[in-house]
Amino acid sequence: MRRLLSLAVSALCCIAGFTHPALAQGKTYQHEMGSVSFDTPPTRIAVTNWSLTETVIALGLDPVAIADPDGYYKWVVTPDLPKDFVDIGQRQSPNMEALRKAKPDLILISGQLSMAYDAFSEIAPTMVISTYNNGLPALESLRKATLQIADITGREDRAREILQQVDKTLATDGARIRAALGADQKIAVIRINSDAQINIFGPPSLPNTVLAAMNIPTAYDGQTNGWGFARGGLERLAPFANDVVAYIEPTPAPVRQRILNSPLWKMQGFARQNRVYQVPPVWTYGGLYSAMRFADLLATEIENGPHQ
Amino acid sequence: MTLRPARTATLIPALFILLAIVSLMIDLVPFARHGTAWQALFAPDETRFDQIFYHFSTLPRTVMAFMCGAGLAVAGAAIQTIFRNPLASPVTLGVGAGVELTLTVFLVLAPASLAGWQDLFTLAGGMGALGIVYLIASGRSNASLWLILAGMIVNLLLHSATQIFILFNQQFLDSVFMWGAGDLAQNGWDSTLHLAPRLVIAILAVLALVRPLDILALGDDTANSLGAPVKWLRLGILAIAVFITASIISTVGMIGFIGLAVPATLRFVGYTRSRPLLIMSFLVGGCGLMIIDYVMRQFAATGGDIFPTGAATALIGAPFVILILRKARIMPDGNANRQDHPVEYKIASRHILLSGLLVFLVTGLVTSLLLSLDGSGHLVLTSLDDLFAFTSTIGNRTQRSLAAIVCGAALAVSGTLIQRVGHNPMASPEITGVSSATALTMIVAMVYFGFEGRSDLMLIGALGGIIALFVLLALCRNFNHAPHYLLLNGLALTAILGSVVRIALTHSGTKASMLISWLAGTTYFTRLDEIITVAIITAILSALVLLARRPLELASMGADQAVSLGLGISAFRIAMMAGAAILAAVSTLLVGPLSFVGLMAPHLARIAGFRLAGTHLLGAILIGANVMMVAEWLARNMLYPQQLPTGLIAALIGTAYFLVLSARRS
Repeated sequence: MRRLLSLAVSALCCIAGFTHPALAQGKTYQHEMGSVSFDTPPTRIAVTNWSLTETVIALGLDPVAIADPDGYYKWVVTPDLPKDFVDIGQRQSPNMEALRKAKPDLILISGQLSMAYDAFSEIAPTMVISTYNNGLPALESLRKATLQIADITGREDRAREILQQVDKTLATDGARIRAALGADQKIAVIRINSDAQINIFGPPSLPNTVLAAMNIPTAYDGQTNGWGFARGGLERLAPFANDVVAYIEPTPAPVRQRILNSPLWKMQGFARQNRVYQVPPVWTYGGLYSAMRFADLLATEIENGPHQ
Repeated sequence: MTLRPARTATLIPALFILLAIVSLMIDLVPFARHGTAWQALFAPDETRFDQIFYHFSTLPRTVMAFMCGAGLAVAGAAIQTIFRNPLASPVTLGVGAGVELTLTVFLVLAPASLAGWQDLFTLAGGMGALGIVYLIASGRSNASLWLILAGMIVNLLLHSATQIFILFNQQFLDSVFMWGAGDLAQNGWDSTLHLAPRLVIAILAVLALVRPLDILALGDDTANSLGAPVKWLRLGILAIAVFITASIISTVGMIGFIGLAVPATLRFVGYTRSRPLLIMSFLVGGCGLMIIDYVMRQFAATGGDIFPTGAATALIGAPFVILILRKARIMPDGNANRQDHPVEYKIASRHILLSGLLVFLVTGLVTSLLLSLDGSGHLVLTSLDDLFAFTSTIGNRTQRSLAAIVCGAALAVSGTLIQRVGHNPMASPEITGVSSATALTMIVAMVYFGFEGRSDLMLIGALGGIIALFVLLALCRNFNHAPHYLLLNGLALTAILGSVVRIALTHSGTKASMLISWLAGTTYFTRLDEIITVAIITAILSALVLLARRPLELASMGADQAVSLGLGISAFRIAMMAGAAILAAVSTLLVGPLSFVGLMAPHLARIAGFRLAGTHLLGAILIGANVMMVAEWLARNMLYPQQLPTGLIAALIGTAYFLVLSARRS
């Protein structure tokens, strides 16, 4: 239907002889909503969420179009974005016109944007790669996605390097944390949500799969949503009185103040025994670099001692 | 003095107090069994989490619930007395939305050092909103209706502004969203002790002012002749009521309808004098919110998910309003059937005007397709260099503009029908709750029953819209579609649906951000086949309505005249209303329930002098399409590359239009 419309408009312009980009005969790659083919590996890649952004950058490619770059520096922080790229607006509705101006030869989206898959495909070959909400443990899902994107872009060597780097980093950081806390100390990772609500990360989440890979026992193993967390009041932390609680930034300053100063927080075991750690911003829905960033920052914070 | 509440009336407060005490007891049972109730209440054992939790969460939460319920009900009783309007309340008069906007901005932008100033900001926001509402309504012949309408419009305007702000700060959405849903959860005594002294002083102040309140209740003229400084008394009491409300909702979030339903019900059962009304409002409001909160806490404990008390309150409180409306004619002006006919401005001959609108639509469409803004605010003509890029860019823009235009037309027809058949120039699918009902059924179908296909959703939504409209008509049957009742029932319906939507959204998990942008009215995800479907439905229904323009003309003259002219009015009315509901539903799927076009377009067409049904419809369609076209262009370009939802922009345009209109007329 959309193509019909484009054709109609072009007919209006009375110009003939325009051709669709020829469907190449090269290698075919499967993704969640079909398949795409490339003669030569794509190099101009557009990314519509931060997890894909950091994954593509990690593979040594500079994305040509990135969604919400300002938010990226606040929530994901590293790795640095390339010098030149097109800002395509919000992650939940990337701007098609800006995207087209970036002239990508591959667009990566997650399942959340699958409703606009046809519109994306009209601009450039589009692949749906969901790193979350796919029923897989986050770390496994990210390894898979990284290898998949590396396969398409011909960066398999770099991907293997990254996977090795992840294993090495997690092993080192795991050892650092165990050295500081002891081998059996469980850790609960949370985000502060509002004056009375927190998100606690569970088994499939990025923080907990990273902790598990570091051989560190995790505190919360109950039900979660597709992003891997459960939501509730501070009473949800009651079972973790003897565990370490690490909360991940950023939080609106007044909200953080009120939560940390509330009796219900201060009277719980983890606070009374001084086992609360503040972790600087990590994108807990990010890629493998975010996984390593989380491990590094958590280890550093734990070595530096509890948050006062 | 002789008017004493009936005996049954004393039963209501007694029942509430009893239930509240029972809920308190049940909370204490587990401690009483171990003989630690005293300890849990006053000096919890710091090694026992159940005692800590009771002492620092359950107990302050219960006290908070009582205080907030009592405060809101007292503020509501005072405001209802002052305005002599049983449907006035702090939340319906815009205070809530004012606080919401300032609080959202504050949470996202303010540094930690300013945290202590939060109250001042939110209080100013609430006062400002009420000030606007008051200015619009004051000095009008039927001020009580206008007060409610202005409140609704200001609520919508400020709410749209808040939504836009949240869209660009999605990560803080959770905080603001939970606040908006009115979560009473407490982590200590801080908020409770912080709020308590203010509320005690403010409530005592209101209670001390019962005599002036009684005088104001007599009406301005009588009060003036008694030598009371009416203006100052009213302002003073109003300020206290807003202070109570703003303090409460900036602390615990949006708790709707307690301040409306409790005093209105009490007045209805016989508490007409200020002193007993205020005292009973205090007790029933407090105990009522305690009971609701107790029930919500049990849900949270079992499901592990959050059921916000505020949203639940609206869910329970709004039906009371419908009930009261059915039981009593409480519009103090009495003149329930007087219509608020818009002033007409004859700008040009209607033919010239219609062709002018059409020309504007066509040229506007072409221009809006070719011109766009770049990130730095310069106008750019789409370049023809790359033909494929050009056609595909224009194709994309055409699709979204078409979606907006078609919806504008559909909503305009829907609004015209509802306004004409309902004899009500201020009715519209948005205001009567039809749009919210459509959105609600779709969200419930999506979140709880897993429907994904958009055509299924469109069908389900249309069904919901039709049912809502007929429920509304059934409720208003006795009053012969009297304008006020239709609007006020619509207001209550919208509130009920709004709170169900909030509850559903807190449960929707990963779909929440998509649903929120759809509710805000984005054209981002629309597909051409959907637009064509909606366009065909709109075209067919509009053509049918145009063919039926003569009976429609008769129907809009009022039932008496029409029946005497031999028109089977009921069946015709039902058919027209069904058409209106279908149109509202299909357009809601494309641009969400928020846009104000269904109200604005027919209204504007009437003002422009399109009086007869046929031209009224055509005029409304063209105006609606034009407004949505402009809104769509603004939404795409104003903040390029970010894209705003078209529905929100249309709502901003629509509400601003009504504010300007009312300001000019007062």
